[in-house]
Amino acid sequence: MPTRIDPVHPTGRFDMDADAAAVVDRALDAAQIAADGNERLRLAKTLRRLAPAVAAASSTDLPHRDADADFEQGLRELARA
Amino acid sequence: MQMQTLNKAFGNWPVPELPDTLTGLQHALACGEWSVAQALDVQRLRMRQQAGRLHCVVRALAVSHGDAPSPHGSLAGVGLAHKDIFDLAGWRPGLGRDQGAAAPGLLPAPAVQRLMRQGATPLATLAMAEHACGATGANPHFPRCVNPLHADAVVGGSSSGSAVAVAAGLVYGSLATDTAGSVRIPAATCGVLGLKTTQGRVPREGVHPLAPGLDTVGLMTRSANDAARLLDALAPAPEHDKVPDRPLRLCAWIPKTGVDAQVASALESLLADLPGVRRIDDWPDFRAVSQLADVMLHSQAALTHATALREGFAAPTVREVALPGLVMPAQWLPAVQAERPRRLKSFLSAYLTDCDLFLLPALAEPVPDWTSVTPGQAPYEPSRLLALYRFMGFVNYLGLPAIVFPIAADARGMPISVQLVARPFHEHVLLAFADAVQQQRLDGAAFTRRFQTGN
Repeated sequence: MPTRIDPVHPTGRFDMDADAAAVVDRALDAAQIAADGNERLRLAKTLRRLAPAVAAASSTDLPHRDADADFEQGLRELARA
Repeated sequence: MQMQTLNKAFGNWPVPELPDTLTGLQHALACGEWSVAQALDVQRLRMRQQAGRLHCVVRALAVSHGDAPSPHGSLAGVGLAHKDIFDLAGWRPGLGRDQGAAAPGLLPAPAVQRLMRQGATPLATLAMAEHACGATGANPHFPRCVNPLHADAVVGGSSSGSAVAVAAGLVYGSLATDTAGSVRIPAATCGVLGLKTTQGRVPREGVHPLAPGLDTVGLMTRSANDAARLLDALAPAPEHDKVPDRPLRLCAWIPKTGVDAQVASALESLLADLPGVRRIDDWPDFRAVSQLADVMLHSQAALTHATALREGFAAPTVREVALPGLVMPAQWLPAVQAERPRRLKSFLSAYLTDCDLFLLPALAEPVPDWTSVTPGQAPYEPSRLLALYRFMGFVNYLGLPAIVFPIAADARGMPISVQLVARPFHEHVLLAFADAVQQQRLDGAAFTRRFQTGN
């Protein structure tokens, strides 16, 4: 499994309406990935579009390494219930 | 009759007709109308004749490829072909980049192996969008897959070759993968049954990942019974995957906006035949759940393709899916993963506690022409591309099984498909419903019988 790309921001909390373009620029620069202005705009638009859903995520569960495997186990338990 | 004799006898003329469905073939074999060897010869010949026209085959497999299928299994004589994303014996898949390569010692993916142990013979590897990225199957490395129902119609992706091969009658079924609709979209465009299984029901070892938390192995067939037989060989039904001994109860959501009138009308026509359907006007969480699915898809695809992105060799379609994940705050992925069980329980509680199945459109619009969903083509319309996958990703995020199959034809004779979602590990409930519709509307004939394939 490849390692996670370094976090762009230590908290991940952004006002994406204001910061999306800067977030994109910093991430691409950090990864040394070339992208033209149009692609950067599209990426910023995607971040703005998706940010509200992430912000509204209200689960209080702590994120953990085996989240996908645990989710699959949860599916099995739900099926048996 | 041996292969050489068949070639000599039939050349480019129509080969003898085998039954439309796997179930029909098994009956013909049991009655002695065909031998296993004859049936496989005819299937290989048909593939040889048709594959060049349809561009769905990446590589025909030699008769002696890998481990020999069991000659005594329940699927003996059944020709299958799979998306080129599964490891085969001694051969790594091409993943939509190339034809793959020899890999001495490589074992076949367990999903492929399980079907072979039941006697199924893999005849070929099938075309796909590069690295399973793309709702249209467009791939610059291969000729465009041709929809056997209409040459101008799109073949959805990413499992494009699977849908074409099954719809054209080249094989009885195909394994494919579904991360955000890659089984269901092409199945719906080609008028065949597409089954996305519950997350984790079919093993994913030996299947190359896109977004591991969303990736599932699915299958396409021309009938519900055929899908049930393949699923039983792939992953025997757990005790709770039983069809209730009563009429199935449906919850139906046909969105008031964003769904074409022909699609809505076809779904309404289906519902009119069903008693006691619970109708909902709105599913308020749909947008948010779909967006959470997008975050997870982009984030995990970025991990899968991190090296290609950084070193600049990611294909454009891969970059389109993975690059947004690279620029997302790293905390977004664990946040949407942590949210997943809550959203699943909320969905099940709201719609699948009193009901067995959740019904909604498969595609939001009739099957479009390939030019209208391909960037760079003159009539490209982004909204038509979105209509291919709008109702897909949320199912993967919730981890649930889903099925699509055709229920009507649109104004130009192309299939309009319905989608149904069930509780975890309740695939046989989905297949029972599909079978009931198939019996009622097609008298049990293959779904493809409804449409002209030009073959």
